Amino acid sequence: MMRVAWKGLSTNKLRTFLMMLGIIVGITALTVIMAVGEGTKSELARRANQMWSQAHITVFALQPGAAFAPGHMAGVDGVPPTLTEADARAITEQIPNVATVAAAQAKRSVPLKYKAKSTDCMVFGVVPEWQTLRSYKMADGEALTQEDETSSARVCVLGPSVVTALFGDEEPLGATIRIENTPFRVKGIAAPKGTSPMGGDMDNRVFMPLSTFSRRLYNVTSLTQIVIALKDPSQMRRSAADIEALMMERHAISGPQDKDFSVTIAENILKIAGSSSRTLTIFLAIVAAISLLVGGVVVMNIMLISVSERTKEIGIRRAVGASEEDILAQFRAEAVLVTLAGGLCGALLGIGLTFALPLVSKMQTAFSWQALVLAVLFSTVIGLVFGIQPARRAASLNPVQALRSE
Amino acid sequence: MIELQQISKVYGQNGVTVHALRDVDLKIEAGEFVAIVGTSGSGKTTLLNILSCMDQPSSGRYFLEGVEIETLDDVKLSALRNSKIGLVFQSFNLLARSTAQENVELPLLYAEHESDGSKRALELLAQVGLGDRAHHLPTEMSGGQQQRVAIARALIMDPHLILADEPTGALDSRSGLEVMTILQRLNAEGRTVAIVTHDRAIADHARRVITIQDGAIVSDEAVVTPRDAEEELAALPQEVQAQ
Repeated sequence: MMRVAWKGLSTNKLRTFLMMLGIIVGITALTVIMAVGEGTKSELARRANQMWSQAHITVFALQPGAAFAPGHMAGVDGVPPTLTEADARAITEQIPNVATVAAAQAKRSVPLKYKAKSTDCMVFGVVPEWQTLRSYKMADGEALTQEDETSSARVCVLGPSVVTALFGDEEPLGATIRIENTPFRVKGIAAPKGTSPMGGDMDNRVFMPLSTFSRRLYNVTSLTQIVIALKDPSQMRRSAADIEALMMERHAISGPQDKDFSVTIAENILKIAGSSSRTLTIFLAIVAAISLLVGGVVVMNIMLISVSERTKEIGIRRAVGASEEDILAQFRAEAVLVTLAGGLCGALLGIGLTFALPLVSKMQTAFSWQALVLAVLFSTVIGLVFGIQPARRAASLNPVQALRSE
Repeated sequence: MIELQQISKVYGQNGVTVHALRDVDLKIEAGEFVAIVGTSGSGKTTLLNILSCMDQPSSGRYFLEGVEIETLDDVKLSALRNSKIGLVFQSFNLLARSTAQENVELPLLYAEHESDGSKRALELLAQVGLGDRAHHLPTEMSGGQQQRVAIARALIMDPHLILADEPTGALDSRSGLEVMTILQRLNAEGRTVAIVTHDRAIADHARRVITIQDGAIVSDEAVVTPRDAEEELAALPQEVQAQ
């Protein structure tokens, strides 16, 4: 039957090509969309891993009732002073799966000065463990130590962007900068981390010991975040729920409008960060779906024309013993063959673009087998669906009249 | 072999109706060569369409080799057309984009048992004098040659019954006689042949002539000495081969 269908199609190549065109465009779009979607997803995952390893839970302080909005991390002055060291201790003591707890404070737009140059950035007060948990690495100099913490030392670690802004070509290590007019010695330079999954610049930051931040600089004891590493990371969801419950109880939260914290796992960050790219993907998917629909309608119309042009052929076939089912099968096979061929062409084109796009643009793509399988599946379904009506019409022709037509 | 009882065919629904056939009773035994003659519009083609199971009567019963046709569904009817009946048409009805051989093999595609028929197709083409034309398209052949391809196609399933609708209607007299020669030979081999024609001279090649008029059989007579197409062909003045 496929051979008959192939012959039917190959006798009118231009028509066959036109039938395929819509499907080709649709499937190409679909393949590229999936490749870009996959690429974006893995790029986000890469960035998230760069920011923090997946096996961590973070409790962020929040304005009561506000939704957690990554990329707009608040400083100490932006949140109520309700998240405390006591919370951190309680988590350590009462949640069995907790391995390490690292408290941190932060403040936005803190003025920095070195000689004549000044800038501002986000300043973190962190315990030494925080640096490991958030996988900050040193490009030069030393990281903050327990000794710095205990002695509330006026030392700091600079992000690479800060170094560029304040020092230019000068040597920053050992230099003294002024933070909020207080002198600090630069003891380390953090390695570049790039952009956070939410788009924040993770390099434009300054880190100092938590005790220095809270006691020497700002005289606040409340925290902006508590980072928690687990003994058994596979129990992350359960531990997050336990922490959530503990915090609800400690802060005496009665409803979501009062909630002044957010227990966040890396997965959630990815979800939120992925939502904007998902909107784009959905939009593109709709475009692909419409072009596939149009492609299907084109196939149907050309097939209908083809059926009426080939009435005589159908009559001849009926005369020599083709049943209605045989004719139905032939035209259905033609439709599926056309759409399948279109689908495969589209998939090939799409795969080509998958590899070409990252070369000519900033778009990240990832080849996925699912796209290929979907393309084949989709185009077959389109052939079946839109081929039905023409095939039925062909099969239902009266053989005597069909033979008589010219 | 064929038995029609009170067969009628009415065309058109509400309003104008045309009675193409009125209460036709007809019996054709195996091995007969029957010509159905009549003027255009007499109902002879309708009769042939019913005989070939391409069309169904409005009323009456049709038995083909003892099987009542009305009891068969489309699949069985198609299978019957495929295996038991060889059809030949005035306008040849070959697939324009397929070669002679592919046209001859076409019925095999719809046969119940798949078989490779290329050898048999070539044999049949040789039998109708077209052994060297197997890979020609219909457009590359004369009308007479096309009709012989169509006859070879009708024979590929080795049917007992050959039905031909004006098989010589579109041909010159020489080609027509060639076709009649083949049909007479097929009948001599034991096949039942029924042709429809308006040409009395062609009909006289059959052994029985049935005349139909206004949808009814008006005469049914045996031909005492049928014309012999092969002899007539030999008697024709030798044609100058166009070269």
